[in-house]
Amino acid sequence: MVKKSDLRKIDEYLYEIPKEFRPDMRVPARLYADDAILEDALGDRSIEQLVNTATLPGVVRYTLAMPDIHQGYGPPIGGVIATRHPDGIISPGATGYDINCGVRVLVSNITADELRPHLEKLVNALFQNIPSGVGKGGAIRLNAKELDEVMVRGAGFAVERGYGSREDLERTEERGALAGADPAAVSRHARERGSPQLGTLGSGNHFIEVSVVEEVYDPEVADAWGLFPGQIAVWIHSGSRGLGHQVCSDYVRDFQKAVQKYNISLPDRELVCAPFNSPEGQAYFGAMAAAANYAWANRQVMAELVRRTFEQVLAGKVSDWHLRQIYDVAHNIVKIEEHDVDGKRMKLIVHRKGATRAFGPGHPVLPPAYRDTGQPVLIPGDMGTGSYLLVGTEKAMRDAFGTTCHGAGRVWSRAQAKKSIRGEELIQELRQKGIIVRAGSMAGLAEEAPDAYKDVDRVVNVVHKAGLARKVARFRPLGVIKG
Amino acid sequence: MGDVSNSAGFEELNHVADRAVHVWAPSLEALFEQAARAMFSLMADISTIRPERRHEITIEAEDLETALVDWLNALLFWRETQGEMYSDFRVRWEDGLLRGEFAGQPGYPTFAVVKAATFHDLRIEQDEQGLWHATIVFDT
Repeated sequence: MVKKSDLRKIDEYLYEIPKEFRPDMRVPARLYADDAILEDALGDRSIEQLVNTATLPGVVRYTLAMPDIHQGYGPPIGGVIATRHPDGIISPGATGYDINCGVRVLVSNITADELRPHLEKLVNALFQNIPSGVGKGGAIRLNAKELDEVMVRGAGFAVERGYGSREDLERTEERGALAGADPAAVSRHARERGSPQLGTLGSGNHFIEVSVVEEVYDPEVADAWGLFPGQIAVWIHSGSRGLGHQVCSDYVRDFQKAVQKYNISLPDRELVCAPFNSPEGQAYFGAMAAAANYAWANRQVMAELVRRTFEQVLAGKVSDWHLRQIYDVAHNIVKIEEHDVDGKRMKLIVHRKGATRAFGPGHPVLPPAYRDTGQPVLIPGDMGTGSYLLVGTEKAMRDAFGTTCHGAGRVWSRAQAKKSIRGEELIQELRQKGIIVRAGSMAGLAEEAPDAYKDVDRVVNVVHKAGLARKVARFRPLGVIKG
Repeated sequence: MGDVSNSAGFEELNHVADRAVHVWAPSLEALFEQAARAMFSLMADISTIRPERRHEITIEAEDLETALVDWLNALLFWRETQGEMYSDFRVRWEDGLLRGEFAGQPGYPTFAVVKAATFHDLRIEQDEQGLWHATIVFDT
């Protein structure tokens, strides 16, 4: 168990566990947190899990956890692990089961006042038009060849089939298709799960939300991005569905043998890994990228279904129903990136599990629209409060491998949440706050109750004050659909 | 709360981000059966699922823990691709292979989804009374 006295305070919101804390640590482990978040984290095993990540072969500089840290399996959620390319390890557990679980934000030109008379109809239509819930089939059934194309071309495949435009790709991380995808590395089981699920929302903490810009913190950036107070926006939070989960399960299982083969000793079996440049490592990266691309195609399809729904309900009733994309980010993924480490430019394998890329201004990978400001960072909160748009910073690049938090972390277990509140009560509570919810499952809804989550405001304030990302705007939910 | 009968049963544990269960049974085969029942109980009320459709699979694994994760993940795969929910399980070991039979019905309503069985904190042990125990954490 890690105690508070084992931590060194480096900065107002930054703590470090030195590598001397445990003999198997290769680098220190760092945590961005305020006092309350630190106390919570010390109360469960999340910090111990963070320490475990610092033992992985090839790990560079330090491992990190963001203020939405919570206990996971293997690394903590909110974890960032960078290893040396090409022979540092790659780990499926450090990437997550829901590969490329991520967020997309679209904004409109209308205000909440204009939308209000049509809001209930809109939320019902969204619930109708976008398949959600457990294992359900979806809008597009893919044959084997099409599934291969989705896994290689990602969101681009969807655009070619009439779902959205090339401008959406410009405003998506990796342009919606990560290079190096290898459909042959994706198992038959994963393919069977993926074929009928493209264009579906899923369940659990996935949602589509219609929200309003409640507050602008950075008028200059907000202006550059075309945001204004009272503006209607749509948030989509979803991942790679059954395909991604199967890829992760398959490789966590396969890598159990790999750790013996490569003589890697692990404090936790879910941290299984292999050298990136081994056949096993390469196969996982290829499969992971394929699953990531599937998720981008999925969000691309759903974004178009949202647009069609806006047209269906609002055309002729509001001044302009069109939606344009702000950005799309992944928060469970592993990437090959270059970062400066101790004055040297290094190629690294960067795992982000429950953490979001937050590249600063001037980064060459950013599209022209965002090169001056820095990358938009999309942080969904919970149903009761709201979500944030942030912008990436130079400091994030220097100190955190260009990373920031991903959202609110959980404080209650799902079992606890279900005992504490009923879905039907929650819907009434939210309706009283002016939030319309359509959910496929009452018990599932209860698990996602706002009280079950850390305060997203708190988490975002820490990253803002620590300089990892700057607040641009805050959104308040008006309508939510969930599986 | 889980079943308790013939000193075999399961209970849900508190786990922050996901679902976890503790399962126990008098034999290893019964333990694997209880683990399946526990997992499906996280998704639906299995007491009313009728065993209309039967399937059988064979699992080959290097160790017990891997066999358990494989068995549970295979059941999740079948659930999702067949659209069925299962409540009836029979496990036997033959020549080092696990033969699992499972039965259930299509289109049964679920209230949650389990995405995968993980290796996290996975423990299979026998206590002094000879009772088998397992703890399993699920990604949900």
